[in-house]
Amino acid sequence: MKKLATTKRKFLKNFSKAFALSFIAFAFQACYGTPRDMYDDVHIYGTVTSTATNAPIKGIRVSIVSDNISDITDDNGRFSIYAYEIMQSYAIRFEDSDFGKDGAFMQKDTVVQRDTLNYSREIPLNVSLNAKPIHRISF
Amino acid sequence: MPFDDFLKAILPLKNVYPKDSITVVITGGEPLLRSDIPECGKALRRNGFRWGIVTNGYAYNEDTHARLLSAGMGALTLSLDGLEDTHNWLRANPHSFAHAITALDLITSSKRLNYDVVTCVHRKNINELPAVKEFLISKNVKAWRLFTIAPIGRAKDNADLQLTPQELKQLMDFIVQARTDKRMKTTFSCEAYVGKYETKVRDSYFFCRAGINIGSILIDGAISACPNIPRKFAQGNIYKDDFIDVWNNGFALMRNRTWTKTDICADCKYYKNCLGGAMHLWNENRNEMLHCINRALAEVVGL
Repeated sequence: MKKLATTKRKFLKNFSKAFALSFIAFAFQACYGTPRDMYDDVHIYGTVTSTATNAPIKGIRVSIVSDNISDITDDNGRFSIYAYEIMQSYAIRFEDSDFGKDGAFMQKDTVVQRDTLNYSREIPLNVSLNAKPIHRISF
Repeated sequence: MPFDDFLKAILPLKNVYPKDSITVVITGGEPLLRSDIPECGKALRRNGFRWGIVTNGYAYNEDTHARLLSAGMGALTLSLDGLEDTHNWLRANPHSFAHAITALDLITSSKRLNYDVVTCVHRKNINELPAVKEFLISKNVKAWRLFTIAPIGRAKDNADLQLTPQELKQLMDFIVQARTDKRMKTTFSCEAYVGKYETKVRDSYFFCRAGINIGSILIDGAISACPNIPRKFAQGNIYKDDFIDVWNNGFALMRNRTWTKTDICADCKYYKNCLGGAMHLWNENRNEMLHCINRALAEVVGL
């Protein structure tokens, strides 16, 4: 009898949860505009500098390799990307998008692993890039 | 409107409502005519707002897609108004369809986006809806929302855009049937009460959310609800009013709709089900309901 009551209580609890969740989905789905954004994201941001001079580099394309997301560093070398939260790690590529304008830099790939104990949604990432070797040719 | 004016107006909302509980939807016109949308979006996301756009996809390419997503865009609605010829006819541009499909391919490839495709149904595309459905499924679209075209703006004087009662029934029957196909979720928008078809054509019962959980800031700073409702319904302006103050203390027009019990709604026995229908279907003097889909459907299916 006690087992039956527990089962019944569990069923009602689960039913209430399911009902509550479906209500949220219905109540907030706007009819004008877009569907509601139900996912969470992670903010990866930082500054790209030159290894040699420590100066910020403008025009570096920063991409999440697996998800077709990218940003280009601004005048202060800063980038900011909101990435899909479901991923545990992010392969990030830094590549010179304006080759030669303020020096040419080597591409760099890195992997950001999320801390499984502290699921922070803010991930700072500062990166320095090496300049490409310059071969001087005398005419 | 300078973006900073908009941001300044809505920023106090983040002190009142939980982070991520508000979605800012940038519509138009066409939002991507502004080149700074990724920067605007990034500022919104940084301040705890979710954001999305409604677009015709014309200016949506690989670079735009990457920049919008990196700026935290999480929701998108793409307009596709039929197969190639019909879509291009409505958009009056022979390249519109091709651009929209480029956008569609990018959008459906994203794991991050909550998206749907919307189709405005009119007399020239209603018979190709089954073909549009199969086309969208072949493109891996998961959600399709169908609208009719309200007799407002330029559509007011174009008879080709207004469905006849028989065609409205055809649309409802099509949606009922399409909803049995689990490959893609098909929905009728909540633009109007549809009587016997309520709950058969969408997940939830008709409810006009204008001014209830939808507020808007228009291009001139006017504070209103959905952008397609009459400008006279505006409740204030961000250049002279505080947005939160207006949201909290204004909007009586939309939160108490007893004034809608007039014109064809005055003696309608279904009034309690729709409370005067959608705000955008009332004229600016609030004494005439421009179009009642339930009444039109009743001509062919009975009330």
